[in-house]
Amino acid sequence: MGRFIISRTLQAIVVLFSILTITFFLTRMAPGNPFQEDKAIPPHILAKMDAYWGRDQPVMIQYFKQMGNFLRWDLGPSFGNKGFTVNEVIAMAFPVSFMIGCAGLVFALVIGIPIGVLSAVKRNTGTDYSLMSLALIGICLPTFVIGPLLSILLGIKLNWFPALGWENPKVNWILPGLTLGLFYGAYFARLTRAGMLETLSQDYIRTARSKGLSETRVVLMHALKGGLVPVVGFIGPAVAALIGGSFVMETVFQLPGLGTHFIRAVTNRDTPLLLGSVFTFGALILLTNLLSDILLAWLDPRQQKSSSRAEA
Amino acid sequence: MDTTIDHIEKGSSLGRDAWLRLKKNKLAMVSLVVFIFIALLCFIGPFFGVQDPTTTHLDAKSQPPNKDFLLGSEHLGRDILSRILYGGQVSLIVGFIATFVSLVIGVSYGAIAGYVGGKVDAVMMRIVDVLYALPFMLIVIILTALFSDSLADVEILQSLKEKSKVFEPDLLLLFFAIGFVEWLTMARIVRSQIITLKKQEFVEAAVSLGLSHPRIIFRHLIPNTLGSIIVYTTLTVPAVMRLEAVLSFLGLGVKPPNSSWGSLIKEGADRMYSDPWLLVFPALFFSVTIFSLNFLGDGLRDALDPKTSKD
Repeated sequence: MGRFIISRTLQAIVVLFSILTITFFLTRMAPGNPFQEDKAIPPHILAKMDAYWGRDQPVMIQYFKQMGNFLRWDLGPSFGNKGFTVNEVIAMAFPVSFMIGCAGLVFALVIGIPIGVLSAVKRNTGTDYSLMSLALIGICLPTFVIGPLLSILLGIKLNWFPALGWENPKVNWILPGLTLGLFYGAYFARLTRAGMLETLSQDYIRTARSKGLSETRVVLMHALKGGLVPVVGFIGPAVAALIGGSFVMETVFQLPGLGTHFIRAVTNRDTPLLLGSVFTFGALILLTNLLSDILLAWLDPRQQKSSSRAEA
Repeated sequence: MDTTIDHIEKGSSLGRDAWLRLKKNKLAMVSLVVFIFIALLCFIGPFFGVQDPTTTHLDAKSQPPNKDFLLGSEHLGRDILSRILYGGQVSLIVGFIATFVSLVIGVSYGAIAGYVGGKVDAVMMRIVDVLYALPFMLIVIILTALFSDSLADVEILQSLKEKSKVFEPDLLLLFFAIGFVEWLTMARIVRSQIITLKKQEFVEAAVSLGLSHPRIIFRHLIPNTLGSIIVYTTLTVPAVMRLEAVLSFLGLGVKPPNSSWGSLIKEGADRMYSDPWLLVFPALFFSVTIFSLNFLGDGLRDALDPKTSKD
């Protein structure tokens, strides 16, 4: 187990390092520069700006400097957000993305697992079919359709929650979180159902039943742990997907999150901020993948080499 | 000696069996019909007198659905129906071509890894494992955003653009950026199938006939994995279409004046409070298409591959 964790951690570090390297060289290969404006900048001024930001040095030197900055976690000033360092931008924006991501995950688990369990227990009945059709609708309706609809319905028409913005973080997370939760909850429901069906057909469940335990007890105390294995396996990839989903949520609900900064940083060639946000998201994804792999290995020691990912 | 046989029971091919099973699956058949209908509507519909998708009618801005604008018009007075049809062409083209790119990469990669085996296989699959761990959404966004417009000057693409109403040089970027991240699962599926297939007698026979390795892989092994390839491809198309829609929604995929369902949904979401039809109709087309492709994929899996279907 210890060896497994160490090898996985090392692998995650290598992956993170390669992402940063790929991103850095892609930004250098791509056309355009971070200082571009509507008016063309005279070449001598551009050269001065490049020199000021150290962009006139050989690419390899710049690369090693950037990587050194990562080791010290001091990413320098952002090109695009004048007067802010990358650290400051990330410190301001990341909590927003993190909060709606976490809210989404919690909603998804709270909605998905009970539906999946109920569906599996009532297998091949009307309840099962209607719940699973509902889950399929949830999967096919993308977040950028559910989001605006919820915003109109619960935000504007019923006025239960704020429809847009981040003025009042105590309640503003609800609608984006719920949107993400409905979407990924549908995945979790299907996974839980499949996992529960498999577990419910195992011998130890028959034993539990033959001991005369109540069906509720059999399902909740005996079957649920095994039935949740596929769900735990999906949490890692789901977090990766939730981050992609939070980009969409930030656009739909106009939130000042890191996704918006990330996309703006790519379009504006703001390399320091781009690398900073790629690092933050990448580290988060790899960390949850690692945690869910460890959790899986603990739940089911047979699968110590699985790795999977989700659709966006 | 008389060896004539009067009557031979006609064999049933795997494909025919699968088709018969698929025909029994009502949901999958309805999905197939719905999908074909939408595709025809998008590609042939524009020839039957819908308005031009880019012409603005400043006297008819933001009209709800009426007899001139069947699905309404947007803030510049452009017809939503025709924008949805042309946008659908873009979405479907991206969905299918990007899937095709991923199919070509994934199938050849998986087949070669599985056929050669040994150290080559180990290294090739290790690469796939590492790529799996990459946050691919970030990579696609970086690729599409960094290199947008960089293909605009390529001459062949320019002439293609002039000939067709929906083609943009940037679409090429989308095909490859999406195709590049979607091939991994296909490679794994094909590899595992090839590994079991290559031990069978017909491959031994092909080897003893002295056929070349590429011929054995592409003429004898891959055709035998077609079932899983078809199933997974059908499920990849909606995934790719969703990815394209997300990118366009974020303003990175298809850009105005060109449109796709994703970019139309984005425009609709921006104006959903005043003109809800701008959001509802593109979302409806998109969701119904994704639905039907998913149902069709599930049905095909049950038909072609009864063992792996869910319970």
